[in-house]
Amino acid sequence: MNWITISWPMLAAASLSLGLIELRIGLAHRSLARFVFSLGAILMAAFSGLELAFMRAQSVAEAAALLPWMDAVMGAVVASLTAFIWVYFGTGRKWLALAPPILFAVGICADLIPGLDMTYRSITGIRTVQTFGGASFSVLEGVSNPWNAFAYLGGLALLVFVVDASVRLWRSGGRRRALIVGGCVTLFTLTASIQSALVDLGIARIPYLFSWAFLAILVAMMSELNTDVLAATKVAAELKESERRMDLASVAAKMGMWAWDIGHDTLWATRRARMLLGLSESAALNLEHFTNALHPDDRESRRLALRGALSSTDEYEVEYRVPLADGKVRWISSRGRVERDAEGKPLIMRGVVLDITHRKQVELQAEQDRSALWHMGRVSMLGQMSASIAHQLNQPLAAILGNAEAAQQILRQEHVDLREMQEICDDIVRQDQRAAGVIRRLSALFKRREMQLERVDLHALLAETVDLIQADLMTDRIILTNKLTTGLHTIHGDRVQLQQVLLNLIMNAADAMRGVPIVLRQLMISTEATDNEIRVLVVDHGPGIAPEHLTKVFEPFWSAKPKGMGIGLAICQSIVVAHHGTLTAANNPDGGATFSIAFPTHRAA
Amino acid sequence: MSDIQSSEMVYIVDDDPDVLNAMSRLLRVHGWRVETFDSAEAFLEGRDPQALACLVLDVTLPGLDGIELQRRLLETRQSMPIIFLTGHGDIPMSVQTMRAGASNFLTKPASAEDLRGAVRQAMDEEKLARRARGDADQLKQRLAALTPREREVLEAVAAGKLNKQIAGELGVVEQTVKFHRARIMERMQARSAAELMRMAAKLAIGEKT
Repeated sequence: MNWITISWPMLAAASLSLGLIELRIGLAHRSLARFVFSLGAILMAAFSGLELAFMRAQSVAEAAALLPWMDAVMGAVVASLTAFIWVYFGTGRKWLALAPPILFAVGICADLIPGLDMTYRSITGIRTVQTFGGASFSVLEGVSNPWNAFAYLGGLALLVFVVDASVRLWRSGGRRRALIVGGCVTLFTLTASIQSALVDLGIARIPYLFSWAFLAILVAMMSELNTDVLAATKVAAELKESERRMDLASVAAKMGMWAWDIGHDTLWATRRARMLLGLSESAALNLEHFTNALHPDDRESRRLALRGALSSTDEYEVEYRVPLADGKVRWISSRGRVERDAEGKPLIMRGVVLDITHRKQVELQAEQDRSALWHMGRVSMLGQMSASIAHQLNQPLAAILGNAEAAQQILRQEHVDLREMQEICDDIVRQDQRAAGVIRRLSALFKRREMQLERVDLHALLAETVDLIQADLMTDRIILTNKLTTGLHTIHGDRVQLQQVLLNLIMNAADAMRGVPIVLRQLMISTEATDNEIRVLVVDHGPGIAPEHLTKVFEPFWSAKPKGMGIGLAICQSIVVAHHGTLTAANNPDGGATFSIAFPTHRAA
Repeated sequence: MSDIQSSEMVYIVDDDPDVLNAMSRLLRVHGWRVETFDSAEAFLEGRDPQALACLVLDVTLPGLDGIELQRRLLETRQSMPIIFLTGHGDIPMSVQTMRAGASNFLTKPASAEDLRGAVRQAMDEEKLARRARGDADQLKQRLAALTPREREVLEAVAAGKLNKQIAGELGVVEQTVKFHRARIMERMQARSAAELMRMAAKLAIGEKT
C-alpha cells in the first residue's frame, strides 16, 4: 500500500459519486448541464481506474492493452467537458466546440490500427519508476508517435474554446461562472497537459496527474452548479414562506386569490379560491371552469362585469352565487383588476374571491324585513282607500250590468238590433278588461314582493295613482291640479313602491285639508326637472306642519294624527332613500305644506 | 213599454263615460228618451226646463257634485225628481239627499229593475206634481178673468156671507148679487157652490189678511 494505490481509487470513487449525484439531480430537474457533467465525472472515474491499472502493470503487453482504452476514455472526457461548457455557459462558438473532440477522435484513430498506438510508435519495454513516499509505478518505454500531437492539439483546442467561452460569458455578465468554472478548467487542463508532457518526455518522474486535475475541475464545476442549487433552494424557501404568509392572510380573511392569463386562457387559483368555487384542488383551470361553477342566473351579470373590466378602466367587481351540493348557495364577492401591456391590451387579470354568504343572508333578511314593513304600510294605506277602491271597481261593474240588462231587453223585442247587440258585447268586453286592470293594479299594491327595478315614467305613474285615489279626493271635495315638467320624467325604480309613496303623500295632503273650508281644498302635484335631479312636489293647503314637528314627521311611530300609526312617512322616506333620492317636508309661505321627492338625475333612466 | 210616453226624458249625469253609455242604453231600450252629461255644469247648461223629465245623478262629480246640483235645482224652483246613483253611498249621504227631496237613492251597480222602477216612480211623481201645478195655474187664470165687482162678491161668498148681507155691504139689491154669483160660477167653471168654495180655498180667497 502506498499513496498511489490509496489515492487513485479514492479519486475514482469521488468522481463516480459526484457523477451519480449529478445524474440523479440532472434527471430530476431535466437539466442537460448536470447530465453532461455527470457523464464527464463517470468517465473520469473510469479513467482513474484505467490509470491505476496502467501504473500497476507488470508487463509490456498488460500496459499496452490498456493504452487504447485510456485514450478513448480521455477523448470522451474532453468531449463531455466541452459539451458541459457549451451547455452551461451558452456562449461558446460552435466550430471551437467541435475542435477538441474531433482532434482527439483523429488521434484515437491511430489506436484502431493494429500494431499502432497513439502515444508510441513502438514500445521497447516497461520499467518501474520509484517516486516519493515509497511508491512506485510502471511506465512504458518506446518511441513517441507523432499522432500523439492530435491529443495535445485537442487539449489546446479545449483550452482555446473554454477561454473564448469564458471571456464571452464574462462580457455578457456571467462573471462569477466565467471566472470559477472557466478559470479552473483552463488552469487544471493546462497543468495536466504540461505535467503529462513532462512525464512523457521523461523529465518528471511522477505519475500522470490527469485524475487529480480533472477532479479539481469537477469540484469547481460542481460547486458552481451547487451555488445555483443553493440559491434556488433559498429562493424556493423564501417563496414558500411568502406563499405561507399569503396563505395565512388569505385564510384569515377567508379570501381566495386568482389570476387569469387572458391570452392563454389559463387560470391560477389558490386552494381557498378553488374551495370557495367548488373546484378541484389541482386540476388545470380556464375561465369556463370558473363560469360553470356559478349559479346559472348569475352568469350573465358576471359576464357583463368581466366585459366592463376588460373594455374600460373599471375595476372588476361582482357578486354571485355558487350552488352547493346540499342545495344551498354560497355567496361570493369577486374583485379584480386587469393588467395591460404598453399598448393597453389586457394581459392578465388578478383578483380575489371572498365568501360573503353570511353578510348576504343578513342583507337579504334585512331586505325582506324592509319589504314586509313596506308591504304592511301599503296594505294599511289601501285599507283607508276603500271608497276609492270600491269606486274603481263599481264603475266598470255598473257599466257591464247596465249593458247586459239592456241586451236582455233587446232580446225580448220582436226585432233584434244586431248592430246594437254587437256594440253592447264590445262594450262589455272592454269594461271587463278595465275591471281586470283595476284588480291587477290593486293586487300589485297588495302583493308582498321584493324591489324590482324598471324604467318608470313618473307622469304615467302619477296619472294612474290619481285615478286610484280620485274618488276619495272628490268625496272630500278636494280639487287636484297638475303642473308637469316637459323635461325628463323617467327614473329607474320600483313602480309599486313609488306609487305607494305618491299615494301616501296624496292621502296625507287630503287628510290635512279635510278640516279647512272647501274653497281652500286645493291639492297641487307638480314635477320639475333640473340639471341634476327630478323632483315631485305634493303641495297642500291644509294647516301646515308645526315648526317643532318639521323634523319629526319622518320619524317612525310619530304621528300628528290622533289615529295615525306614524309609519306612513317613515316608510315613504325609506323607499325614496332606497331609490337614492331624498324626501323633505316644508311649509308653504301661503299656507299648507309641501312634500318634495328628489331623485338624482344620474340615476334616471 | 206602451205605458211610457216618448215625451218622457231621462237625464243622466255621471263623469264615467262607460257608465253613462250603459245607463243610457239600458233606459233607451226600455223606451225613454235619454240625454247624458258628464258634469253637473253641462247638465245645467244643456237641459230643457220644459221637458217632462227626471234626473239620474252620480253623487261624486268633478266640480259641482250631485248634492250641490240638487240644492241649485231647488233654489231655481225648476225642480225635477232626482235619482241618486253612487258607487260608495253611505247612509248619512242618502239621508241628506232624501231629506232634500230626492226621489230615490241607488248604489252602483244598480239592477235594471231597480233603475227602471225608480225612473218610473220619478216620472209618476213628476206627472202628479205637474198636474197639481197645472190645476192651480188654471184657477188663477179664471180668477184673473173676473171683474172687480165679481171678485168682491166671490171674496164675500168665500167668507161665508149670505146674499142679503153682501147686497147690503155693496149697496145693491139682492137680485144683483144672485146675478153676479151665477156669472162667477160660470167663469170659474164651478159646478156647485161647494166646488166654488173649494176653489176659493185653494186660491186662498176670503181668508182674513
